[in-house]
This record gives sequence, C-alpha cells and structure tokens, in this order.
Amino acid sequence: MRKTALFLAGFMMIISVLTGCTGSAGKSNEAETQTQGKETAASDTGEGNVSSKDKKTISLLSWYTEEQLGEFLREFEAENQGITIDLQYVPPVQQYVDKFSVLVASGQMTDMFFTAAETKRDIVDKGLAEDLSSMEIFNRIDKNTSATYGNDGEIYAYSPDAWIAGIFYNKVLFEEAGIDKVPETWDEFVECFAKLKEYGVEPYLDYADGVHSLAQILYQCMVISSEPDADEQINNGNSTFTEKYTEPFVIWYNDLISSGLYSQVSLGLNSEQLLDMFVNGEVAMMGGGPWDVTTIENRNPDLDYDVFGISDKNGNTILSGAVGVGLSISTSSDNKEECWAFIEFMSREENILKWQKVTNNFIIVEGIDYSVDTVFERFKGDVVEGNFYLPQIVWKNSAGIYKELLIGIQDAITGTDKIENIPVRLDEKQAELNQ
Amino acid sequence: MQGKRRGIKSYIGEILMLGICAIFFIPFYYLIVNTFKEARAATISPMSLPIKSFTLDLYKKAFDTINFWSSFRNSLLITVISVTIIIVFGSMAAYVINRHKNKLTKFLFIYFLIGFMVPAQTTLIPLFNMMSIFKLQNSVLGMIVLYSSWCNFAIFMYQGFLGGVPRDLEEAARIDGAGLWKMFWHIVFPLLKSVTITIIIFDVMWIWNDFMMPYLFISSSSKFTLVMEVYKSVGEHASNWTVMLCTIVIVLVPITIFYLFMQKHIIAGITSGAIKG
Amino acid sequence: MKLKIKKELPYLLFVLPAFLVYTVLTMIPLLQTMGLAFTNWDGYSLRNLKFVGFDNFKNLFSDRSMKSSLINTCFYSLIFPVLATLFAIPLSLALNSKMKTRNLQRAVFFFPSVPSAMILGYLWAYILAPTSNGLLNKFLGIFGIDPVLWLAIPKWAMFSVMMVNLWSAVGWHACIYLAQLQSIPAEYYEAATVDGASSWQRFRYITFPMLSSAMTVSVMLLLLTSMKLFDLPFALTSGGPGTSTTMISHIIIKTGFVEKSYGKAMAMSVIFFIFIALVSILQLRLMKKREVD
Repeated sequence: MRKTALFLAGFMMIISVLTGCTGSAGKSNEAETQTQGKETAASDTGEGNVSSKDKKTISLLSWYTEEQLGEFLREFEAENQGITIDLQYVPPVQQYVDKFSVLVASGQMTDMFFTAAETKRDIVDKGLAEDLSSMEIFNRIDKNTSATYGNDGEIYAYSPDAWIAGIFYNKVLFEEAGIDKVPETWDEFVECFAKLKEYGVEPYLDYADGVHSLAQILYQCMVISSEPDADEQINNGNSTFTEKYTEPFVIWYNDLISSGLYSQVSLGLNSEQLLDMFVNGEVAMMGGGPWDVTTIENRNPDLDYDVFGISDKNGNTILSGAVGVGLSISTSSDNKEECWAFIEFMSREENILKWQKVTNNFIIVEGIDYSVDTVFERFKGDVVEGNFYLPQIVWKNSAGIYKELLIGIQDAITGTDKIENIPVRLDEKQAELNQ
Repeated sequence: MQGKRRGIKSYIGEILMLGICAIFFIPFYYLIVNTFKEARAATISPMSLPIKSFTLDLYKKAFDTINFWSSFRNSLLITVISVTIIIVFGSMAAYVINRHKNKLTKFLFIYFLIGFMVPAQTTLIPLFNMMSIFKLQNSVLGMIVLYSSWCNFAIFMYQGFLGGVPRDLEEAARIDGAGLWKMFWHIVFPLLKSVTITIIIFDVMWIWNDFMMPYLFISSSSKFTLVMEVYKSVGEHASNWTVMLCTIVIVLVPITIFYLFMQKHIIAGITSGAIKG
Repeated sequence: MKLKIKKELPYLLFVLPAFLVYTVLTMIPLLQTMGLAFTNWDGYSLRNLKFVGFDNFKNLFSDRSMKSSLINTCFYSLIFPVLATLFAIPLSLALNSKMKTRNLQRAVFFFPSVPSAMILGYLWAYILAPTSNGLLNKFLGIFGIDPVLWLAIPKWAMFSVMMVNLWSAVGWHACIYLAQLQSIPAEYYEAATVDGASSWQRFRYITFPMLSSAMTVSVMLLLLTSMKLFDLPFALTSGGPGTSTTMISHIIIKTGFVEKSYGKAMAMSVIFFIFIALVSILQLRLMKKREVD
C-alpha cells in the first residue's frame, strides 16, 4: 500500500510539473497562449505593433461562467488587440454577493462586475458604478425597466434581458390526477394540490432556500397588482410590511401549510435534488425559470412539461421576474475606456441575440426579433407589458430583509413561529437596519 | 495464558470492530460507487456496485469542467512551501521561547497562543485589507505568506516537545563555541523529527483542505486551488450531482494518498508532541 | 547595555520571522477588528469614521437570530465535547488491541477527519435527503421506519450536524487518547490483575486517570472547534431550517456581509473572541488541576 501510494504521488507530481511548465494544460492558459500567438503574428508582419506597455488587462467579477461568456470575451479580445479580460467567476447568488461585499469593503473591486438585485442598493448608495445612461442602447430600453439598475435618471448597469419565473408542471401527472386545465386563480391552484395528493403524488416542492417563493408570489398578485408602489411605500415609512404582507401570507399559510398540502420535505432539499425529483416524476410541480430548461431537457428529454404563472383569487397575475443581472463599470477602475468598449460590444444586436441563446431570457431591447425556444415563450407578452416584479429590487436593505423573510417562512413552516409574526419581524429588521 | 486468551471472545470482538468500520466507511463507499454510475442508477440503487451501469463518462465530464492540473499544481505549491516555512519559522521561534526563558519569551508564548482563539470570520475584512496593502491578494505567493502566519500551532507543538528534550548536547556544543544558528540546525533540529512530522501532517491537511482563504483572496481561475474547483463546480453543476461527486473524489485523491503515506506517523507523532504540550 | 543587545540579537532574529508574519496577518487584523467595533464603519471607506463608543455593543443580543445562535452555540459546545469524549475513549481502548486488523481499523476511523467539512457537508446532504430515496432513509426503510426529514425539522437538523461532526471527529480524538494509552506501563495492569481487579476497576483506577492529560488536550480542541463551528452547518444546512443550526460564526458573517452592519459585526466578533478566550482559559485551568491530582 505504501509503495503504491509513493508511486502514485510521484507520478502526479511529475505530471503536474510538466504540464505547468509547458503551459498547455487547462482552459485558463488558452487565453494567454492565444494572445501571445497574436502578438507574435502582429510583430512579424510589422503592422500594428502593440508594445507591451499598451497591453491592458481588465478584470470582470462575473456571475456567468467561462463556458457562457468565453466566446464573447475571445471575440472582443480579437477585435481589440491589447486588451485582455480576466474573468473571475463566482457562483450566484449568495456566494457572488458575499464576494462582492468583501471586495467592496476592502477597496479591491474589479474593473467590471455584474450588478444584481441584491447588490443594486449598495451600488447606488455608495456610488460604486459608473453612470452608463449616455450609451445609445438605453434609448431602446423602456425607461422604467432601466430604472431597475438606476436612480434619478442615471443608469448603473447594462442588461439587455429579463427573466421570468413560473411554475413548471408535469402534464402527464396533471392529466392522471384529473386536472384538465391550468389553474387560473389561487383557489384553482390549491385545488391542484388536493387532486394530486389524492392521486398519490407529491404535488409541489421547493428547495430549502426557495420556500418563500409561493408566499411572495401571492403577495405580488394580491398587492402589487393594485398598488405597484407598495414596497416603495414601505421604504418611505408610509406603510409597513405588516400592513401589506400579512393578508397574502396568512392565506398562503392556511391554504397550503395548515392544510398539510405543502410538504415540509422542501426544507431538506437542495435545488439539485428538487430538479432531479421533478424530472423523474416524483413531484408534479416546482418553481423555476429559463435557466432550468436546459437541465430539464438534458436529464429527461421525454418529460412532458409546461409552465404557468400563479394568480390570486381574482385571477390577477404578477409574475416573478426582473431585469437580468447587468454589467457595470467600477468607479474605482483605471481602465474605464476599455470597459466601456466591452459593454458597447455586448450591446451590439448580434451579440444580444447570441446572448439570449445562452441565457434563454427575454430581450427587453426594442426592435429585436427573436424567439424564445422554450415553454417560457408564453410569457413574452408579459415581458412587453412589464407584467413582472421582484420585491427584492425595491426593498431598502434588501439583502438583510430577504434573509429575514427566508428564515421567517422557514420558521412558519416548521411551526417555530406564527405566520402573522413574520411581517412583524420584517418591520423589526427594517427598523434595526435603518439605524 | 497469553496464547489461550486469543480465543473466541477476541475473534468476536475483531469481527464486531470490522463491522463498525464497515458502517463507518459507508459514506465514502457511497461516494465512490456512485461516481461510476449513470445518474438515474445512482438514485434507484445507491448502494450497489456499478456492474451493470458502469461508466467513466462522469469523470470525463468532471475533468472537463475543472482545471485539475493547474489547480492541483497551485494547491501543491501553496501547501508544500507554506508548510516548509511554517516548520522553519515555527521551530526557530519555539526554540528561543523554550530555551531562552525571559520575560519577553514568556510574553511571546502567550502572544502566539491568542491566535487560536480568534475565529477566522471575525477578522476577514481587516485581513483582506492587510493582504492588499502588501499586494498579497490574488496570488499564490500571497497565499503562502498568509498560511505562514498559521505558524502558531507549530510553535505550540515544538515548544511542548522541546520541554522533554535534554540540553546536554547543546551544552556540549556551547562549550565548543557553536553559534546559535549552527547549534539549532545541526544539533537540535534533528532531534525534532517526530514532532516535525506531526506538524507536517496537520498543517498539510489544514492548508490543502482550506477553502475560506483561497475563496476570499483568489479570484483568477488560473490561480484556483483544488478545493476551490470543487466549490466552483457545485455552482456550475447544481444540475448534475453525480458529476459533482466526481469532483469531490478527484479532490480527495491527493490528500488520501498523502494520508495513507503518513498513516503510521500520525499516532507516533501525536504521542511525542501533543500530550507534552 | 549595547553588549546585552548584541548578545540578545541572535535570539531575537530567530523569533523575528514568525513574529512578523503572525503579527501582520493575525494580530493586526484582530486589533483592527477590535478598534472598528467602536466606530460607525460602513464597510466601504475609512473616511468619515466616527468613534461611537459602545453604541455597537448595545442591543447586540436583542436580535432574534442572534439569540437563537447564542443558544445553539452554547448547546453545541456543551453537548458535543461530552459526546465526542464518551465515544472517543472507548474507541481508543478498542483500537489499542492486539487485533490483526488494527491498523486498518485505525485508518478507517481516522479517515473521516481528512476531507474538509465543506466536502463532507455536501456528501452528507445526499445521504440525509428527506425523501425515501435518501440513503439513510432507505436503510431505515428496511426496518419499516418511515422516512425522517433529517435536515428539514429543526431538532433533526441539529442532530444531523452533531452526527456528521461526531463521525468525522471521533477517530481523530481517539488517536489522541491512543497515543497516551500506549505510554501507560504494562506493569500497572499486571499488578492490578494480580490484586484481583476487574476490567472496569482497571479502567477506572489506572487507565482513566492516566488519560487525563490527553483529555485536557482533546476537550480543549473540542471546545474550541465547537465554539468556532462554521463550515459543517454551512455546507450541510446553511444554518437552517430557520435558525435551528445557525451558530454565532454564521451570525457574524450575516451581520457584516449580508446586512452590511459592519460595526455591529465587529462588536460581535470582539465579544465572541473574549468569550472563547475566557472559556478556553477556564477549561485549561480546571483540567490541568485535575491532571495534577
């Protein structure tokens, strides 16, 4: 055993040193060798000599992976000899937000970064991002939508798309349980739970960190549909979470939790296990978005599924959705020109179309013809009308409130706390964070 | 009397222990066995051997997504050099603290102990600040310097061990006129072999497995460590848990090899070092 | 005087490298944390930094999550060291046998402490899946027991964290005891057997007292790791459901990075650090005394 261990260890060390020396291993070295190759080519032909002083590297803190963005980065670099983009990927959501916070707090922000709903407040309050409103592309995006990442007319992040989430459902299971049409009101939605449970299949599950979604969506349908500025009122102190959120939360709780229709199993699942269960027909419904489509189709190409949006008792629907994460330029960057150029590159129509294929999201730039080749096509109209919302984008102290909401809903499900107390806790948390 | 005692009772005892060992090992068996199966097979029959559904596809996929060799090289470099520095710095400091007792060294001993009580999360941002002041962030060298500051464990262990080492040889050397440097490296250090091995084992495991520090300070993918690659794959492969299990196995292999290699020394080392401290 | 410094110089130089790195990267950040706890730092810039005295320390424990985490950490730090020791000592006795497979046994029990807690957390999340497909539930199913929602019910979540931690730590700590066991002179046992002592009496009057210094080290490490616990609950349950497995370390991170109340987070860190230091010193004193006895 010892000899084998020695041999294996020695073998690995030799290989790693060899591959390290030749620099041909790993994707991360490809960019280097490519740009090196181009440099040599340029100097060989004697034209456009890029002296090493002009070579700039801009860093990008990214929500998207090398796999997703790589093509765009290489193309940009090919067009702009002398600029290299260093992609620093951090998995969304919480990890990305944490890393972002650390970089901000220590003054080490990258040249560019992605702005998400969770970080928007920070960026506005602390002036972390450059104002991009003068970019041409914003003339083609609805002003209200741009305001997602803006403040007072200034716009801090560029995003050409928006995502909408819905409830995936298994058509076969629905049929077998005797559900003949997609629910159009909240009560019909709850009835689906009952019918599926009677049939003997788990009706609906979330993953542990997503158990707040149904309650939140009900709030959107019930309150935001009639008062679109409800959350702003809470921010200004003209209203409270208790006032606006209690009714939908109580309805959610009584209809799904007290009745036993919603299973506590959700609290023990991670997103991956949930997806696995849905794909294998172990659960009839699950919440999800365009980002799940590729995975579902890869795991089970034969799955007969579709998606619908939840409504309240009166059939009002406000879908969960938001503008996609946007590209921002850090105010502390020394390479703002180059960053600007990259964003302009990404805002070219052909790149917007290409990007849509990567994310499967909806394009919010006017005048571009495209098709969403997924079940989410049915929501295209809702995007145009702006019929989507996400409270996290509006809330003051968003990250802290969001965490408290998640913990609170979990407590309500386990019975650790009463549902009526959850909005109260949100108010308390808001007061605490406002100090 | 001795020969007779090895009767049925002890055989039962041995079988019982082996049974408990088997149960103990189940999570790892589960981990390894399922990395060779198709995802569906893994869910249906998680404990079976992958005879019918054997596939190496998952490993291929895992290798494709993680930069194994580059991150392995980074982890290796960082671990080996950091541990070497820890041994050097730590033993030297412990020697002075133990052999050259005065007010200063007494203070230093307590000074180095305080580090154990500091939970890492509490000093993250000031630490980040320090790292950037010295331009240590996002670099392999920076991580090495950072891990060297973990030398207080080594100091603690060396200090304890030195308490049981007689000074005769050093006295003789001093009479012969040997300077501090020579005395320490040629005479004392060779005596510290067993505790050095213990420190190496612990520090290698801690540093190799460490996730928090590289996560905070390394952002370029070319400088990722092996454990970071697993973490990254968790985000990317939220859709493919068996591939994720593969990355876990891949990450565990080097440290397991090291462990098997050093196994015999672990207990021997603890004997000489920890208790006396 | 000059002569004295010249004499001391080589010794100082020997300590200098360790002192430098440790001071810059461990002590200075600690001092900065303690200092920032008394200011209104917003986690962004050091301009407009105001001294606010003990403001950050007031109301520290009024937050609901903070109270939960305090209870959880205390609960865990009391129970886990006891449990771990209760399992580690018998295990060390079992491993101290003359069995042929004892090296294999020692290896198997020690190995779970080798992978990082993050990895173990992800692995066990699948073993502890709440559905009937989860490995542990499948096993229980053989005996006709219904699936347990391991990570979904607060008390089971805490139990799961302890269980995984036990599994990974017990072999490691058994080795600490094992090391000391091997240095107990055989004559003691022989003399006791001659006097007619039973196995239990041999354990209670010879083995157990002789293990006291190992116990001091083991319990100290168990206490320290329990109080500072972060990785395992983070990877296994994310501190949930609700706050049932949230520890003080998680709250500090949440207060700082999520809620951006950095001054408050620093204040919590200071109190946390003092608490850990006090408990460790207390524990060491008590147990060292016991050793002498």
